[in-house]
Amino acid sequence: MSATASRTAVRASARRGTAAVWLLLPAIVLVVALLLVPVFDMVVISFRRESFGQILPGFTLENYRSILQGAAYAEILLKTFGAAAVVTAACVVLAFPVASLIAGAPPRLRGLLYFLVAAPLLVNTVVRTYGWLLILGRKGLINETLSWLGVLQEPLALSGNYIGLIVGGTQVFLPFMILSITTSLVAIDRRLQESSAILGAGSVRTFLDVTLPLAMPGVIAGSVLVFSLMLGAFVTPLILGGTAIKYVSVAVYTDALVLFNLPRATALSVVLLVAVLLVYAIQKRLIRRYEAFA
Amino acid sequence: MNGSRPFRVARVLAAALVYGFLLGPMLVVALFSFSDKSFFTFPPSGFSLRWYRAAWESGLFLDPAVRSLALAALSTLIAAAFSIPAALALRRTRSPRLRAIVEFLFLSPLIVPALIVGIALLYAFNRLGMVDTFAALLAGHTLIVFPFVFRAVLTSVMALRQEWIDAAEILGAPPLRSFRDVVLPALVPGLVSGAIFAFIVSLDQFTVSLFVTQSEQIVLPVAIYRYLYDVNDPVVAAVSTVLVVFGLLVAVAIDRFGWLRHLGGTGG
Amino acid sequence: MNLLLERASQGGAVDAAGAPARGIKVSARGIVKRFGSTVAADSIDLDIREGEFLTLLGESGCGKTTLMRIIAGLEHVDSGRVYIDGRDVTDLPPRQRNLGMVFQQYSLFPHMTVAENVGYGLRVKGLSRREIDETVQRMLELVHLPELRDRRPSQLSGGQQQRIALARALATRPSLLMLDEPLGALDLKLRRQLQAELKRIHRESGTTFLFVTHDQEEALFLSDRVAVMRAGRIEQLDDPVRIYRNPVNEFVADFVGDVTLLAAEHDAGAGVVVVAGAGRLPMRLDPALRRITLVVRPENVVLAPKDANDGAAGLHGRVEDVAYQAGTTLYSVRLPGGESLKARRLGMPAADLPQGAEVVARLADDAVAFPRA
Repeated sequence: MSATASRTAVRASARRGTAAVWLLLPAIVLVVALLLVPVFDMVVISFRRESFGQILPGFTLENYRSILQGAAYAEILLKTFGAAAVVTAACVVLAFPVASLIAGAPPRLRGLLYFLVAAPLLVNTVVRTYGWLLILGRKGLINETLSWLGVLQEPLALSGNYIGLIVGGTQVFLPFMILSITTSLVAIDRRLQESSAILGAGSVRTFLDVTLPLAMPGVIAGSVLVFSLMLGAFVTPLILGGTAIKYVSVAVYTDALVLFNLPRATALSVVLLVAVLLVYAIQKRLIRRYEAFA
Repeated sequence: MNGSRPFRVARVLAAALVYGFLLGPMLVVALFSFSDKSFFTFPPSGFSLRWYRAAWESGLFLDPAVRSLALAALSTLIAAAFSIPAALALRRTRSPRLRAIVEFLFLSPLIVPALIVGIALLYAFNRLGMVDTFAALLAGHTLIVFPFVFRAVLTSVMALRQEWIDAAEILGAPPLRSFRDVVLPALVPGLVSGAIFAFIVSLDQFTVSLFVTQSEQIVLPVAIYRYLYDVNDPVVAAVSTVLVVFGLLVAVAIDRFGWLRHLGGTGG
Repeated sequence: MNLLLERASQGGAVDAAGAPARGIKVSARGIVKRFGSTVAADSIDLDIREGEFLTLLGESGCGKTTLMRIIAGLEHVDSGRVYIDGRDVTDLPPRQRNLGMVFQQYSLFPHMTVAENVGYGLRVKGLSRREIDETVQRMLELVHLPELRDRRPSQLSGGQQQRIALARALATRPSLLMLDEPLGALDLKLRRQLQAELKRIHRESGTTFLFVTHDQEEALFLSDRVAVMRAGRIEQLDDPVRIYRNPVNEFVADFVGDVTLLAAEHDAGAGVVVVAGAGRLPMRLDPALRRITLVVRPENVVLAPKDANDGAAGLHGRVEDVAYQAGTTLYSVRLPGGESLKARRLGMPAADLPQGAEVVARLADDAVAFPRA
């Protein structure tokens, strides 16, 4: 009798286990087939040579060598990382006032403030970037206003270069940073800041010594997010930077669809992907140092 | 207890400036769309709706718009169909390590830059002879959209109380019945908010669409970009303004589900 | 133990010889269940009589919830059989066992109204609309909440939710209604109210109840019989009065109610029990017992000031603490051997028994004793 009972038990739990596998399969197939396999193929191509639009079999490191050692590509990589870093820093600075405001706001107001921050994310990136074109362009808002005021003789070159790229990039990714830092700030126990005030520290001091360190996990998470998003950004450099600037994503696009040099394009993509993954990997380590405070 | 008076005032001012920075571009676009001149002037010289009419009559945007909407709807549906069983299966998984790995796998499209997805799919579809087809677009969009739906559905699934399922079972409901009566209704909030996200993300999707389609299957963001590249008049502003209003309406819809905070982050 | 006194004075459902024979509603035989290396059920046998209110009582981890879930069919047994109404249901899923269950929390379906919740089991059975409505109405009246029929669970208080859960479980006329610590999430006053409600509903519905709790007062108040459990075994299965007054071992004695356990020597010839250093008490016990542990209930202890009773039989000690608790006074008496003897009296603290007073303690009744190692 006991044998029957245990057999029933084993059968039931085994059934539950295999059912779970069947349920997971479609989604796994989806991601593997559409992401993992193509990316893997892409990596494979990066080691191939190209001739007149055809991919030749065989293994070569030529693509990577020209990227990592060539002056042209080195400049592209450097400028891309540089721009991403500047955008990240700008986002951190700009995010804090808003995040701090939201964190300290009464619940009713908080909803509205959140909405205003998150709403731009739901608007088409092309549209948002186009808006900057209108503001920063040669005949754009800023130039028109300044010359109307009689301040300028020559229009400022604010778009089609790195300035436009950085300004646009900051605006596009700023909401992510704000949301990330706000989450951290909201989690800070109000009484810690009150203790600091009671002990005699001024507002700025309290902010620097108490609030900022405790908000670091949010700052780090937001920075990693914005940095990697900016590294891989395509729309904004394309529209606001154009062909004048050197950016990895634009170079990949040019190599792939204009020059039809797929191996080099994919090699560049792999370098980009590795950079993005590295940044995410570091995130865990960086946050751990500040997690002790939580 | 927020700090001294001048500190707070400074903070409000700074925040106001940042908000202006965030929302400004969209306001400028809207302003431009109503201009009566074909080039940008400031202060605005007049009010006109002719660019909206021109956008409609040009016929350049209707087709891509319909295609974008169809893509968004279909990719969302497919992603939802894949997400529900996956999320339910994940809930039953005992080993936390396995669960973490699978979750990471499902959310990985969020980490990989769209650029790389675009070029990888370009090559893959090229080999399959599928470039510039609706199927290719649909596949790409479904992949991009899937993590958003999955994440939302997973949250709902994890909030499922075993007591509800046990209670239904004890009251006599066979598994399919209790799924329909108890599990599915509990998934609706996550499904709906995930679907709304996914819809918007698909509508907005530019990069992958650009790589995968060349001339035949144009989607709306690409159409806008093309027009911008060739001509630069307020027609773009008109179409853009319509999109902005649409995006804001959706944002209001999401807000009612309280999910706006979850927009800011990948991988949870 | 006011609740217990009330219970005992009601005459109870049992007499000294045990409950009158009734049909057995549920029977569990040889139940064994392991979770990894932990034994949750160590070959348990249990018969639940028709119409009775039986409680599984024990600390967390003693296996009471596991046993209930096994009877419900929510857990599979490693070995053993479960019978309901004479049928072997061990291999049947829960939905085929005709049971009812109320959980500690989250019982109700959040997206259905109260009426839809209560009628769910009937809907699954495929009853007609009219029948369902009638039964739902009757059930809601049974739990005294007919006015809530169109509300949603989120609009109900904790106590109301549990009563609706009860109505839902009873609607299908289950062979057995199981309640898994249903009052655990409620505050004290509400818990007391619902305990009274539960008793009434049990009486009015006539359904067999299986109740799980770690609260021994609750168990003794509600039940016809209590099964005290520890480490996957039933230590004692008896009516509340016998559990309290005749515990079969130290564990049960200590678990239920206040108690003082005293190491003592039994002198059968002299008919006394000697507590070293404190004194002797006249007592008739099993002659075979020598070294014993004496189980002394506080209300059984009578204290008298020493000077008036010097040299008399009894345990001599000093009053260490006097605590007044809403109608009774609890004395802690320190005995010379270091033990702390608890004594309870109705009413205010006695003037002649202040803190620090030398007293002599006697027992109003024979105590229970176990052999001591």
